Amino acid sequence: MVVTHNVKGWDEFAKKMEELETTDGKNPVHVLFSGGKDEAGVSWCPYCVKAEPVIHDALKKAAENSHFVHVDVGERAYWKDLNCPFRKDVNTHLVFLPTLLRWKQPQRLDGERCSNKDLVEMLFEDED
Amino acid sequence: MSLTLWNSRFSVTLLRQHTTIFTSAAPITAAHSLHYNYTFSTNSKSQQRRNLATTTSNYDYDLVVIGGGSGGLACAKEAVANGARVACLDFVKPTPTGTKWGIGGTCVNVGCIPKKLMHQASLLGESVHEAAAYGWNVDEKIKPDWNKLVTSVQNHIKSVNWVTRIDMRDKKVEYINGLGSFVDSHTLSAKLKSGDRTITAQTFVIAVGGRPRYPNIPGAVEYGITSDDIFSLDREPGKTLVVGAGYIGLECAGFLKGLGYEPTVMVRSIVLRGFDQQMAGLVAASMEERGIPFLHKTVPLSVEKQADGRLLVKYENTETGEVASDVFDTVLWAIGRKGLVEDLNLQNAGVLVQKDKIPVDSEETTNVPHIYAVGDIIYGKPELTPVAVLAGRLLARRLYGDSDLRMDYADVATTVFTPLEYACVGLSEEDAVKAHGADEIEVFHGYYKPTEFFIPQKSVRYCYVKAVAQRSGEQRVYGLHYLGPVAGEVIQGFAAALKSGLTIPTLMNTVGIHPTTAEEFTRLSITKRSGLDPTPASCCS
Repeated sequence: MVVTHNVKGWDEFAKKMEELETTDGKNPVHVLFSGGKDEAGVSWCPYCVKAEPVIHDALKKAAENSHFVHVDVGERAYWKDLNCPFRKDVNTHLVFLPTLLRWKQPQRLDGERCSNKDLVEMLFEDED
Repeated sequence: MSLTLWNSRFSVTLLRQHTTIFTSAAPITAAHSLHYNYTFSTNSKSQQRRNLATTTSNYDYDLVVIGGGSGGLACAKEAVANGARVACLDFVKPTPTGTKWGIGGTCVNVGCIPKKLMHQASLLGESVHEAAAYGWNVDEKIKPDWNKLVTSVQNHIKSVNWVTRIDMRDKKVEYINGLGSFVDSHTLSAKLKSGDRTITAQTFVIAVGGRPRYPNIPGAVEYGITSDDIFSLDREPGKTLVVGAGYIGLECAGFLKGLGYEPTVMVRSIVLRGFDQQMAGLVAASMEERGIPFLHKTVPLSVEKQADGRLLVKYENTETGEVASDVFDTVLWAIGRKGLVEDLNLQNAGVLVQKDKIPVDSEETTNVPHIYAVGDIIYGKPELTPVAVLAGRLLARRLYGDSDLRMDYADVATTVFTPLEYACVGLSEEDAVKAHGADEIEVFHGYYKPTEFFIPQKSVRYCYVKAVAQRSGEQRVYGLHYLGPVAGEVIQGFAAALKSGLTIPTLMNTVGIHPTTAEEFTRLSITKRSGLDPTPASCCS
């Protein structure tokens, strides 16, 4: 079973990644960064809305015991600030939302490619 | 068809006309029908296009590309974009020391990319020292961390490998991680992790590239490494013997020196074979000035591992017969590269080879009409990534698109990333003399002083440019040569000028950008024939 984690904002995200690295250093950790949602549960980021069901559906292809961290980056204005910590961090270097990546590995998809089922499955299944 | 007019401006016009013809035709969405309906009856590729169009083909693929490097990938992607069903095989045999890598070929994994990154690392070290002269307070004890550099370089390569695989999946090129060999001229057997797979195709493109050679001396394979290993070496190279003075050897020695190791270059006969020999001599001299020793006219005899783990290399001076030896931490062979024809079983397909390369005609066709080759595997052409990319792309367009444009292998610019870089385009001085006669050639040249070299008091001794030109008539420029900083950036634009028929009067009428080093090309006034001193006055402007 893939272990799913939901975090909101930079602090929660940073804490979660540290926790995963100390408690489980060996299983792959996939991270999805997407725009925050409104009261109705709809993200301000249209590609995130499109990508989410594709990614959740493809998640069953991910390795047994791997982790999936869904990160709610926050509101649009917060993300658009070029000093946003998600953009500055060396391990995330976020430029686009949504971005799906394997933590500290080369596998990464962003923007429209996050809603391409074929590519998302490839990322989850990749053994390299 | 005016195909014979290639290498002139006509070919460009011809291509534009094609584009106009086809874009003004009725809207056609399926590439297949386009090829079928609009193939010129006189075109040699008409049969090919008809086969693609009819879909009655019994083959697994329209095209199988063997080799997922620069040329193969460009060809495969372009073929898919033009409607073909394409698979691309890629397989890397580990080096004797066990180094292996992913998709993308030599350039991305063990060539241009890691080389440029390590060169940059080396230049940065130099810049840090210069920074002090420019007023920065710099800690004098700075030193590089080899393992950190290797990790950064390898991480970059891995992300490129990933993007390449994603790109292939996205563009519907089937990637087969297997070693292909021909069963017959339309059938390939691929060795995969999961076992053997038979693959048939209408057309094949061989783009397997090459790998470094090892000398046939004791200890070479056991103890030596090559450019395939250096960029992922898990220990500091230390004192390194670089055997070979081609561009790979010189570049490796250059960045190792810049990173603080002690390279020595062993030269069998000449430095930078195939390049302008005056420039080659200056490149070597500029490296010697930086403290890189050259062992000229010397060949290695053996490599032995000492009890302390270091390598004892015996070598011989081929002129004096004198035998000497020295101890190194690393021995790097850079004595040339061989084409990877061995595993292909080309005889089963009837493809002829020349030494370890494959001869092709001006349309990259081998002696077998439906088997083509591009990139480093082809005989007698420049072994450069952009050459392979363009040749592969143009081939795919001729096969499955509506183009007749052929690859022009002439006047390809290139750069040697030695500490002081060398870039050139067009003919070397000796080739110009050979082609036109010494009396018909005028060489304009000059030493120059880059503005930014004064403050840190960097040596300007080898900063030099020359233009090799027609002596009479319109004074056409045949070749441009530049030794100095950011050489590739300087020469790239001039390459377009040279391809457009650049003349000496045009060059002299071009206004320079001041202060740059590229502007030196607009100030060439001294000819070699005049015998005047090509060194500049004491200061600038």
